[in-house]
Parts: sequence; C-alpha cells; structure tokens
Amino acid sequence: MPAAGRVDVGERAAARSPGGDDMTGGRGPDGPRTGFGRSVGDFVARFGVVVMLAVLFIGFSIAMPDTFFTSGNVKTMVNAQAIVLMLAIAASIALRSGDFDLSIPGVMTVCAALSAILVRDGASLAVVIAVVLAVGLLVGLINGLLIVKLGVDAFVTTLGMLTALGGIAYGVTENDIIAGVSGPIVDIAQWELFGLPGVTWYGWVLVALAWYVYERTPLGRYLLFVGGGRDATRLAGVPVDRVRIGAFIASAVVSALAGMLLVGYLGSIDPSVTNQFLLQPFAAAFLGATTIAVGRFNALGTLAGMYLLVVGITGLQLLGAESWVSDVFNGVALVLAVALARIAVRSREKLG
Amino acid sequence: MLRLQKAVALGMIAMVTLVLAACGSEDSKDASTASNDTSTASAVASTTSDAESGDGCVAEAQKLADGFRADVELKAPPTGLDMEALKGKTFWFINSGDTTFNQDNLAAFTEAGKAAGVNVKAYQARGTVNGMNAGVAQAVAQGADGIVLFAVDPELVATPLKKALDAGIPVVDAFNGGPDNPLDGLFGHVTMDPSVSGGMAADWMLADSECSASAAAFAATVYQIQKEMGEGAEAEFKRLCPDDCKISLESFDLAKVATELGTKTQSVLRRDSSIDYLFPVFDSGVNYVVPAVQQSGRADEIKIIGHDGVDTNLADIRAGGGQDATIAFPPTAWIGWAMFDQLARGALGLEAADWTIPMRLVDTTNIGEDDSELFPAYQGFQDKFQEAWNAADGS
Repeated sequence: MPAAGRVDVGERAAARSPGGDDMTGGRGPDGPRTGFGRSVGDFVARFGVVVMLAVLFIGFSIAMPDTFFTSGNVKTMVNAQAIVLMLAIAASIALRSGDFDLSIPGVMTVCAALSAILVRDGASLAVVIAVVLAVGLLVGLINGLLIVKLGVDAFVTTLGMLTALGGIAYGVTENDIIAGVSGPIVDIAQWELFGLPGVTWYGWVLVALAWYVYERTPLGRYLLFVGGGRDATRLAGVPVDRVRIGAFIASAVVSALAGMLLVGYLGSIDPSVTNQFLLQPFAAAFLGATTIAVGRFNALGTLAGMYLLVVGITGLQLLGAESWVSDVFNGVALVLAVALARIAVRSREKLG
Repeated sequence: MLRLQKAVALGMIAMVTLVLAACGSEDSKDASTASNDTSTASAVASTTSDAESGDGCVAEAQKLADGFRADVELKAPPTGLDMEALKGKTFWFINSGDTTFNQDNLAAFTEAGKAAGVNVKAYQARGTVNGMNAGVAQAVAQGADGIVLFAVDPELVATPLKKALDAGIPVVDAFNGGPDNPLDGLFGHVTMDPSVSGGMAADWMLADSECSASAAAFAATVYQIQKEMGEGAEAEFKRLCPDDCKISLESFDLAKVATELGTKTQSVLRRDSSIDYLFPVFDSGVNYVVPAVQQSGRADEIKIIGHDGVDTNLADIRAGGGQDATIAFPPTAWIGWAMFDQLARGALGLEAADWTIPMRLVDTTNIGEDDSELFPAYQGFQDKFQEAWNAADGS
C-alpha cells in the first residue's frame, strides 16, 4: 500500500533497490525464461497495449476503409493529441520518481494565458519563451520544495497548486477567452512537415528525448530507483532530494512549454480548459506503465497508451457510437491493461 | 522552530492580504457593475422618456413583460430549397457536450437530415477544447459538405476552422453569441439574442417588484453568450430603474457549476441581504441556486428566474416550486431543424436566413397545464418546414 501522494504501479519491487530492475522482481522481461508459457506471459505483459492498439487500428480500418483508414483521419488523431502527449510525458517524469504532479494542466493553462496576453501586447517570442520557462521553473521549484523539503504530501500540494493556477488563469485573462493570437508563436506551433504541424513533431521529439533519458542515462535510472525506494536509494549515494525536486521542475517546465504551444496551435486560449487536460495525460502515463517496460513509467509506453485511447475513441466516434461509449472505453481500457499486465507478471512469477 | 514560526506568520499575512484583495475586487466589481453602460437593452424595446420615474418604469416593464408572455408565431424557412441537390450530402455536427439540450438538438438535426436525404455525422467533443478541434479537423478530413458548430466557440477552433473555410465548407455556428456577431467567414448563425433574453428577465423582475428589485445575475462570463445575457439584464435595469433598483453580475466557472454555484449564491445572499431576485442565466443552474436559497432561510422572499425552458424547470414553475419564471426556447426539435435549414442554404450557395430564435417569457400566469401549450404554433412544425423547402422557389 503506497503512502498518500506516492505512486506505486504494480510491483515495483525491483526498483526499490538500486540494483533491481522492474516489477519482475529484478529478473526483468529479459531475464531467464522457462518455456513457452513464460514467453507468452512476457509478451502479453510487455506488448499487450501495443497489440491492442494494432488490433483496434486494423479492425477499424477494415470496418471503415473510407473514413478511418485515411491519411486525413490519422493526421487528425495524432495532431489532436499532441498537447496531451506532452502533458503525459510531463506527468511521467514525476510519476517515475514516485510522486504525483497534478498541477501540470494548471501550469499549461497559466502559461498559455500569459503567452496569449504577451503576444497580444506585442512581446517578442523570446520574451514569451523566457516568461513561460520562468513560470514553469518557479512552479516546479515551489512544488519540489514544499513536497521534498517540507514533507507536504505531493498529491495535496499539487492539487492545491492546480486549483490556484486554474484561478490565476482566470485572473490573467480577466474571465475571458483570449482569441486571435498570431505571429511567431503560431508559426512555431503550426509549421508543417509531411502534412503534420510542428506541435505534433515536438510531441514526438519529447517522447524520444524522454525515452533516451529514462532508458539510456543514469538520471533515468535514478528517477526509477527514487520512485522505487527512497531510503535504499539514498543509502546507495543517489541525491534523492535533488532528483525529486528536479523531476517536479522538469515536469512543470515541459507543461509550461506545452501551454505556449497550445496557444500557438489553437490561436486562442479559454481559461476554463485546465481540468479538461487532467485525466487523459495521467491515463496515458498509467497505461504506458503497463507496456514495453512493464511496471515503469516509460516514454514509448506512454505514447502507445495515448494512441490506444485516441484510436479507440475516434473509431467509436466514426462508427456512430453513443458518446458515453467513449468514457466506458477509456475506463475499461485502462483497467483491463493494468489487470492483464498484473496477471501476466503473476503467471510468469509462478512459472519462474 | 523560529523559522517555522516566521513561515507561519508570513503565510497568515499572505492569506489576510489575499482576502482583503478579494474583498477589494468584489467592491470594485459592484461599482463597475453599477456604472456599466451598455446599450444592448435598446434591442428589447423602444426607449421611453418617462421610464426613469417610478410609475413610468412599472408601466413600461409591465407592458414589456406582458408582450414577452404572449404566444410566439412559428418561424419557418423563408424560401424553398433544391432538395434534389441536397440529397447525398454529408453534414457534420460538432457537439460541444452531452447535455440533454445538446443531444436533443443533434437528434432533431439528424431527423431533418433524414427528411432531406442528407447524411449526418456527429462528433462529440465532450466539453473539451481538444475534442472540439479534433471534431472540426475530422469533418474537414472526411470531406464534409457542411459543418455545424453547436456551442463550439469558433475562436477556440480557429486553426481547423480556417482549413474548413479554405476548403469552401459552409460552417454554421449555433449558440455562440448574438445574431449580430461578426461572421468572420462563417456562413450564418442560429442563436437567440442573449441581450434581449437578459432584458426580458430584467423586465419580469422589474414588473414583478414594481421597480424595486434588488437582483443578482449568475453567468459564466467566460462564455460570450452568458456574459451578454447578464449584461443585457444590467442594461435594462439601468435603463428603466437606475435609482431604485440594482443588479450585480456574478461570474462563476461553468466547469465547477455543481460545487461553485450554490456556494456563490449563499455568499451573494449573505453579502447583500436586500437581494430579492436571482437570475441564473440557464435553467440547469437553477437546480444549484434553489437549495442555496432554501438553506439561507429566505426562500419566501426571493424569486428566481432562469433561462432555456428545460422541462423539469417548467414542471417546477408549474408546481409552485423554487423557480418562478424562465425565458423559454421553442421546442428543441425546432432549433435542430432551423440549424439544418441554415446549413442547407450554405451548402446550396443560397443566402443565409435570419434564424434568430424567438423566446417566450413563462411564469405562473401563462405556463398552462402542459409544455405543448407553450408554443402552440410550433406543433407539427416539421410539416411546415418540408412544405417550405419544397416550395417552387427552391429548385
């Protein structure tokens, strides 16, 4: 049972010691295998979400070749989720270190509102970027200090920050939608390559960057170890507090940049959008933790989780399903993926 | 320990400062409300020179309210349509949310499409800006012949909307502001006049109070249509009863309506004990205002007028419940057909029609026994629409 405000996905037992690996108890998905059953268990555990994504995509494509299986539809699906993808990666940073950062959509909205106002008042792109980065840095630092140094619960702190930032967004915009944003901020979000806007490419670049940091650098492993067991990690000489504070700062800065890009992409900002961007990034991050690197919040898994949700919902929409079906799909996909991963790991442990 | 005490002290100072700042802004809001001079109420009625005197106010407010209570004539398509040219086209309905009102409009739009041989595709944005943008982008990607933005603010979907307009797709917006809002490339509007609606509610409050009303209007002012309704009421108060009546416009977050509106109502009533009229600008909001009024112990003194004419609220008015009046839309199905007509005109290259939605003031004096009595001229309107569409001037 994790402490309040502390994240524990499945069995992160291995990550509780710096020498461990993941929820497989240190053996990892690449550990010794004992036969076909174990291999199937491994495969389901690692690629269940990816397989579900492929099955859904192929199924909808066969069912609706003229509407679903079109480049226009694929572009629409990936473009629409670009900002959510960035927030999901932002969420995964703190989650990987064992903390919740619920304030990310609040940071996004405030920075979007500030960007829109600054652009409207004639500020240069450099100034906008500087302000947005400063806000991200500040919010991340406040979160980090309150949680790590003062010991306030992460869930409560970031929930309070989310609420406060939501209110600040209304204050900054004077309860109004800021529309008609134009200029360089729009250009950097909307330039196109292969028919896809910049914002989509930034999302993918962020995924690649997060993958590299998580999987190929000591910092990525430190985050994982800190998330798994702080005391043991501290004894191993890892600067746990700095890693945690850094994770909150990184999460807020990514969210802040996402806010700036949101304004550039939409050309407007509605201060009431904060809560619309809360659930989906976390759903994608949690779904992502059940695939590819099972039991860890990982970048490629988050990408797969995100697209599983969007493919499912878009396909259902195009099939003409009632709108409530989307909610059911979202919820069932999340619970099912987590449950399947857990079952697969258990059966693998029995076999091993 | 000393550090902790300092931190606590600083925290308390910050909280007190915040509270004082909030009080200051509340005062300044009231002041600005009182001095806010909008001219929207001029659309409600012709001005009268003696309105400023108490008697003049009562007479005019009463006259206007009586006029707004009267039966509303059916508004039908102004000209025929080339129905053969419409057949096989595909219209997209970008639905902002899942409320009953949204879904009923979609159902009626679909019904009209079926009657005209047009395919209707719906995209449920589920109340999210992301979904709204995805919906419009999807419609463009699928080669829509027309798009309806139902309570989807065009400014929030500017990027995919530009692509739709560049592709020559006619776009109709519904319930995003007043009928005089700039089109900016859109084909046409289907909406009520929010300033007029606000003025109608104000006239009812003024008439009912004999020009002594002290009121508060609740609106999610981030949405233009709600803001204009609140401002319409303010303007009418200022026009007819500038000295003896008052109204404040209270803003809230629509996303938190269930938790915020009731609390806000209680705060407003505590802040100003003279308030005797409340105007939440949508009937669904009344459901949160009524319990707050009851908890204040002043249910007998305070009257509530809403907007929309939702059936459960109409039933409440009829039963003598917490709500006293509403500004009612014609049957929802009619609005769906009106949206379809407007979009069909766009798809056929015709001129946009004036689809400003007529409203009716409903209170205990004219509510009748059944909702069908509220808009008798709208019974069987579908046949009238099809007759008009098939008229000779359409082909």
